[in-house]
Amino acid sequence: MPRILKRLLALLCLPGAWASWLTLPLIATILISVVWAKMGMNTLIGWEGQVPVLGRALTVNSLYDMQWYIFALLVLFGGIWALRDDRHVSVDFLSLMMSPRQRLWVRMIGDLIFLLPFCAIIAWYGFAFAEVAFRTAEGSTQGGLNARWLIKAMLPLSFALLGLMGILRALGTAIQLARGDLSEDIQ
Amino acid sequence: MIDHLGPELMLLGLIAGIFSGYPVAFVLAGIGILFAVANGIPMLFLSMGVQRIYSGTLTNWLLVAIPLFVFMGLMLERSGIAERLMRSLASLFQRTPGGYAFSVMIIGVIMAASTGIIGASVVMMGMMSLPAMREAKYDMQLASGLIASSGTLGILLPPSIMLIILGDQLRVSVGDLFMGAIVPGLVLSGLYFLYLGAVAIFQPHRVPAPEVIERRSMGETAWALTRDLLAPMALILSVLGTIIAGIATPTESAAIGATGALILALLSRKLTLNALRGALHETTKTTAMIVFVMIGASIFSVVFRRLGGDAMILDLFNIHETSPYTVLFIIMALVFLLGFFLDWVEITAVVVPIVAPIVAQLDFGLPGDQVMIWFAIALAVNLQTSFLTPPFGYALFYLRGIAPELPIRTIYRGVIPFVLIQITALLLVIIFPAVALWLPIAQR
Repeated sequence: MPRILKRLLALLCLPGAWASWLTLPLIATILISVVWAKMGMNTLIGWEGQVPVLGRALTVNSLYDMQWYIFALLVLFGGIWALRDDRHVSVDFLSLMMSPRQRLWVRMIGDLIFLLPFCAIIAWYGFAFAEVAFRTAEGSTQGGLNARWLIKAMLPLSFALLGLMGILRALGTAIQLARGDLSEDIQ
Repeated sequence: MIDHLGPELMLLGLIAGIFSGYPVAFVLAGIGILFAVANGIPMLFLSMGVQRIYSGTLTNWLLVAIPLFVFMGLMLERSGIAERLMRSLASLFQRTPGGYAFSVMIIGVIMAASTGIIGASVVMMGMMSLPAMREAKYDMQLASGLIASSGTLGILLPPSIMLIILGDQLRVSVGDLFMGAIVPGLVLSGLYFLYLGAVAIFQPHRVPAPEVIERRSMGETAWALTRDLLAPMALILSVLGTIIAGIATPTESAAIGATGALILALLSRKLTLNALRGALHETTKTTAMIVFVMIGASIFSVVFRRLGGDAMILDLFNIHETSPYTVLFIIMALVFLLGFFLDWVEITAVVVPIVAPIVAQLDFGLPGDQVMIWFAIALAVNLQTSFLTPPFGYALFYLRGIAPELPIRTIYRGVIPFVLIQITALLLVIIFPAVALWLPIAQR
């Protein structure tokens, strides 16, 4: 695969690598909310006036929202990274019997007929989904974080990036097949 | 007879796609979308998929437990506890034949909490213990059977990630499932211990005590065992205890467990920035891998239902005229066969939602939620058996991968006694539902 394509694929994995550090605040916020809830308190820090995203105060409910926001980011951007590293579960029972060339064909066709339509649909309708949340200024129903459109927008964004990875990988695989380069490693 | 051509073709397409070796998550979603387009389902219907991904998966607070338990397992694994435990247990048992075998078993039970991904745990157990057992001149048949079976215990033994996803799919409480798994898990590990004990007594030449004896003071061994055995055990018991006592939700105890594992790694002086980064990266990829299969399956199933898939499955099983035990047997046999090719991730995300409505309608003389708990536990034991059964068992495949010099016949033969034990436990759970249901009911 041409080096420039490999670089681009590596670039698409970066958000996943950044998101992985959010696991630590995920653990911390759950611990804090457990302790606060046990003490029967809700507000951690309050202040005067409105602040973007956080609203009027940082409450246990804001932490609660933050926790599934982090989970969503891990999944959505981690999924892109897992695709490049070939970490998604697959059944390799038959593919182990195929020749490297056949396996590359499967990868390219799969990217085009399975992955791309899926990403296109989720990115397209996901955009409308996030846009509604933005227009109606949707916030948490339980006094958590405001600006729910922010997390909803991650859905079309991540699927657009995933689809982009599919296009780049299929392109690179096609070049490989044409040149007779049968290496399967794309890291 | 209603025409079931749509869903039938869809299943065929799915099978072909999965066997091509392309990632299952995207085959599921892709087949769903291709069939929606081919059958003229309005594109707007597919926008339901977005809603499903968002509200069913991304905002599902129960699933937040997945990265936390994965991280806890990885941290425990990377803190080197398993290796040190292997050494100290072996030095404790060094005069008895079968010492290593018992150590591997104990580690299997403790580390069951680890990732729960079959491949990963079999590889870890094998890399750690196979060389030591070979050096001690163990019978390699027994050694390979032991590694494969103790590496697959994690499917059943709580906190199993598979049980968390089953709880979500079958709409039963994860606490109940964890409790339900305890007695069958103890029965299973008890039978393993009995078998190993019998081998050590009657065929000690298969599990000889090591010739080289490592001298260690009692105090040193006691300290090592406290740190490497009692501490992780306390951690896992506290995670389970808080869930079972209803003090914390599975997600909250998973966070407590993750913190505990971080502290253990810190105490073992293994918590370097690199180790932490590695564990975080692995956690992200593993979580995405598991959850993406659930996402793909949800796209597949909206289209499958729309094309009349549910009716097809109900017709297929003809549940009103077949005895409930026959239907259960067919489902279990099907899952057993699928376990040869699919990991538990696909089975829980794809097969379980398809068969769950059937199981819910079966009358075993038990209340509905108890049927589901019982079914989930039986399914877990069944899958573990499937992963061990020659010639296709998943676990054997991975074991072969790390020990290519072991003849495949040795692995197959070695695993047979363990498969028999598994089948015994499975029959016990199915014939006496109380084995799985006693604890969850007693706790209420």
